[in-house]
Amino acid sequence: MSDVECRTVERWVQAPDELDPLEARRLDRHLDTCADCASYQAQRIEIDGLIEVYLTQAVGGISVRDTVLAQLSAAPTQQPEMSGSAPRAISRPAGQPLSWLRRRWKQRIPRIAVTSLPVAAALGIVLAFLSPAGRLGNGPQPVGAWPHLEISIGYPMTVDPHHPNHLLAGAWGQVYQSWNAGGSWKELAPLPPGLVVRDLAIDTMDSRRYVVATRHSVLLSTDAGHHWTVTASNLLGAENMFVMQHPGAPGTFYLGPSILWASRDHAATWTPAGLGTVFAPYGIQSLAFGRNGTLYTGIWGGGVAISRDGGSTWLHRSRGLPRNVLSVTVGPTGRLWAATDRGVYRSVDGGRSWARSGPATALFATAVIDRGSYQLLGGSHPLTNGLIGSDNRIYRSEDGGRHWDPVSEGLPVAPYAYGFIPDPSHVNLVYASLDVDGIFRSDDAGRHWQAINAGLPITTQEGAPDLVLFRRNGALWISNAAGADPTVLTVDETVQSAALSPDGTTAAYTTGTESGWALRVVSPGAASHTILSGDRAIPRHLFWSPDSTRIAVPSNGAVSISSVSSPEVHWSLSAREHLLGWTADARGVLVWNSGSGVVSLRDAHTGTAITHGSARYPVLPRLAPDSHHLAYISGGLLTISTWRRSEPLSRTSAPARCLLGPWSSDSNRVLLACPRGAQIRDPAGHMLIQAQAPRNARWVPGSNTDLVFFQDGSLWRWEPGHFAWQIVHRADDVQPR
Amino acid sequence: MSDLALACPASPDAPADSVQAEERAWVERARKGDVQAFDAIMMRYEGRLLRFLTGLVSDVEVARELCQDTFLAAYGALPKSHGEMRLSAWLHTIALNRARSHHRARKHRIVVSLGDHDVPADGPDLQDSTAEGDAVRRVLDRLPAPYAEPLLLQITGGLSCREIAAIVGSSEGAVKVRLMRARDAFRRAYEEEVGER
Repeated sequence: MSDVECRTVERWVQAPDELDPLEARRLDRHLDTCADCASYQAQRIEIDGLIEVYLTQAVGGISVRDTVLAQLSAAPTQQPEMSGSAPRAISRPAGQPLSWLRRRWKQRIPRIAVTSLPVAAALGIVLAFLSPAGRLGNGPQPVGAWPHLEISIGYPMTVDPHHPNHLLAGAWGQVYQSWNAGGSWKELAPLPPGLVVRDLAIDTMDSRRYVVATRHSVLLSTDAGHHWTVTASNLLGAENMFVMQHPGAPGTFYLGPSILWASRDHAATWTPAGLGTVFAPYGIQSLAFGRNGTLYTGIWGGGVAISRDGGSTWLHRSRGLPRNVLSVTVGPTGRLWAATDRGVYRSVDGGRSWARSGPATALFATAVIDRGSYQLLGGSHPLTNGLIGSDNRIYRSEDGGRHWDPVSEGLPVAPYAYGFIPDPSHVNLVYASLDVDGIFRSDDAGRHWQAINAGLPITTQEGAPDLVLFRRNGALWISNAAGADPTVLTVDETVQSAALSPDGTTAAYTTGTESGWALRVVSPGAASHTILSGDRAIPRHLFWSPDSTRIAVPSNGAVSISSVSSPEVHWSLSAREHLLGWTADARGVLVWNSGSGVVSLRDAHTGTAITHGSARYPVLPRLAPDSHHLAYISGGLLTISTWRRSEPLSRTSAPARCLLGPWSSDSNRVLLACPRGAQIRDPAGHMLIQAQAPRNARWVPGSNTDLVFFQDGSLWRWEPGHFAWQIVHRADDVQPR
Repeated sequence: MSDLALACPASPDAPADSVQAEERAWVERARKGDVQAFDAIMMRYEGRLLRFLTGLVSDVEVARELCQDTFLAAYGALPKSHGEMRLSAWLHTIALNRARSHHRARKHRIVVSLGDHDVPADGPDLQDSTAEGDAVRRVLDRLPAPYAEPLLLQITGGLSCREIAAIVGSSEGAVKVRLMRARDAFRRAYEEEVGER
C-alpha cells in the first residue's frame, strides 16, 4: 500500500468518517508513521472540541420549543418516546492539558445577558442626558454609548412643499440643490468636512430654511444654503437617519434614531422625546405622522409603536406584525403600512392589528408608500398608487394593495430602495433613493423611472462585476472575488499589466517587452486580439472609459484612444503631462501637468484643452472613479480635493512611507499602502480601518470595504473584522498594479 | 438551494437507519398537522440549530430568534416539501438562510449592541463566561462566511461534506479545502488571542 501525501491527509482528516475503507486504512497507516500529521489530526479534534464546548455553554438551557409550539397550537404537548442520540456531550479528557494551545489563565467575567443590553443602553442614554453634565452638545461620553456600524444610506432627498421642482439632496457629505425637479443639481455652500448627510428637510414655513441631519449633528441654514450653522452636535445615542417636520405643528421637527429627538423652534434646539426603552432593542428606524398628531415609529426588533402626546409616551402596536420593521408610513385614508424583513404589512385599525400585504413572494421590504387614489384622464375608475421598495426590486399596486407588480422600466438591475419621497403637489410624481445608483424619478406613479443624477457625485454600479484579474505563470487569469472558477484568459506568457472594463465583460492587457509590445483585449471564452502595438516603452497604465467602450493608453508622448476592436485616434502628450482618467460622460480625459501642477480637462477625441482646474498639485494625484475627487500624498499629508476646486476638501497626516493606493469604485474610500498595513480612509481623510493587507492590495470591485491582495503565492481576500482568506491558490500578483 | 427540499429516502437501496426512519415518520405526521410530531423534531434539533446559529451570528438572543424562525418556517414548508435531503440538512439549510438574511439586513438598519467594554457594574440576568469562551467567540466572529458556514455545519450539524456542499452551493472537494483553511485560520487566531493575555 503506497503512502499518501501529507497534503492529502490534511484534507482527509477534515472528514475522516466519510473516507472509504481503503482510504481509512491508508490514513491510519500514515498517521502511525507521520508525527506532523498525527499532530495535525489532534489539533483538528481540539479545535472542534473548543468550538463545541463554547457553543454548548453559550446556548445553555435556551429553548425555543415553547414559543414555537405556542404559535403553532394552543394544545399542550406530550413528550413522545424518543430514541436516537442526544446531542453529543463534548468534554476534554481529564488531566490532559491542551497540547498546542497556550492557555494562560481562566477567568470568570461578568457579562450582561444580551437581551438586557439594548434596554440597559437606552436607559443609560436617557439617564446620561438628564444629568447636568449631559447637556446637548456638551458633556462626557455616556456610559453604554451605542457604537455605530458603518451603514449605507443612499442619497437622502427632500422636496420643497411650496415649490415642487425645488429639491435638496445629500451626497458625499455635501448638500445639492435642484430647481428643475432633479434635471440638474448644484452644490450648495460646503458643510464641514467629514460629515455624512443622512436626511434633509425644507421648512414649510420658510422655504429658505434648510435642516440637514448628519450622523450625530444637525445643521441649519436660514439663507437657502449659503451658510450653515451647527445647531446640535454629539447627540447622545443618535445615529440620525431622518429629520421630519410635523405637518400639524410646523415649528416641530423630529430627529432619530436611535431614540427620538424633538425641536419646537424650527430645528434651532433639540430635546429628547420619550424614554429610550420603548425603542429597544435596536432603535427606531422611521417616523410617520397620522391623524390628530399621532406619531408612528418602526423599530427594528420592536415592531411599531405609537404616541399621541408628541412622543412623550409610546405604546407598542404590533399584533400580527414581524418584529423587524424598517419603515412605517401612513396613507391618505389612515391605513398604516410597515416594511419589514418579512414583507409589507398593513393595518386598518390604527395599528391594533396587522396583516400581510404586498407580493406573495418572500420579501425584504425596505420602504413603502401609499399615495391614495387618483383618476387618470379618461379613466373609468380611480386607481390607488402604492409602491413597495425592497433590497432588489420595486413593486407597485393600483388596486389598494390587492395586487402588486414588479417594476423595472428605467431602473437599474436589482435596485435597493432606501426610500421613496413623494411630491406633495403631484400624486403621480415620486422620487426614489436607490443605494449607490442615486436618485430616480417617476412621473407616472412608479410605472416608469429615470435617473436624475446630473451634477450629483454618483458612480453607477450597474453591472459592476465581482471579478478580479491576476497573473499566474505570466498568463492572465480571471476569477470572481470569492475565488470561484478561475479562468485563464490568455496564454501570453509576458502579460505586463491589465485592466478589466467597468462592465466586467472585457479585459485589456499589455504583453511583450520594451522592444515590442501589444495591447490586447480578451473576454472570457473568446480569443484575444491586438488593437495596438509598439516597439518602445511598454505602457504601464490602461484607462477604460466609464462606458466600457474605449481604452486610453498613454505611451511615448502620446495618448492613444482605442475601441475594443481597433485604434481610433491619438494625440500628443508632453513629457510633463500625465493622464489621470476619463470624465464620467466619457467625452473627456483629465491630464495633470507636473510643471504647473494644474489639472486640465481635454477632449478625448482631439486632446484639445477645454478648461483648467484652479488648484495646483505638487505630485501626481489619483482620480476617483467619479471623475471628480483627487487624492495625493505630499509632505506627510494626504490631501483630498475635487479638481475644479481651488481649496482642498481635507488634509490629514499620512504615516511615513505610505503610498497612495486606488479609490474604491464608489469614490467614497481611498486606500493607503503603509508599512504596517493598508489604511482605508474616507473623503475627509479620516482613517476608518487598518487592514492587514500588503501594499499590492486592491479593492474588491464594487466594494468599499473588502480588499484583495497577493501574498505567499496566492490571492487573498480581506474583509473588515475577519481574517484574510485565500481565494486563489497560486497567483503571481493581482492586477491592475 | 430551496427551503422546500426535504427529507425523503435517498434511494430505495439506502440501508435501514432507525434514526432516519423515525424522523421520516415524524415528518409524515407533522405534514398532516401533528404538532407533537413536530415537537419531537424540535427536541432533536433545537440544540444543534441553536449552536449552529450562535456560531454564525455571535449573539445568543439573535440565534434564539433565528431558531424560532427556522422552526416556524420549516413547519410551514412541510406540506409543500419534496426532495431527497435529510431532515438535518434541510433544517440547517433553512437556518443558514435565516442567518444570511440577518447579516444582509445589517446593511440598512442601525445595530446598537454594546461591546464588551461597555458592561455596567450591575444589571439583570448576569451570566458568567470564561475568557476562553470569549476568545472562541471572537475568533469565530472573525471567520469569513465561506469558512464559518461549512465548519459550523460540520461541527454542530454533523453534516457530511456532500450535504454541506449542497447547502452552501459548492463542491465536496472545495468544502474540504475550506474546512482545512477554516481550522487553520481558527488555530492561528486562537493562538494570537490566547497569546495576547
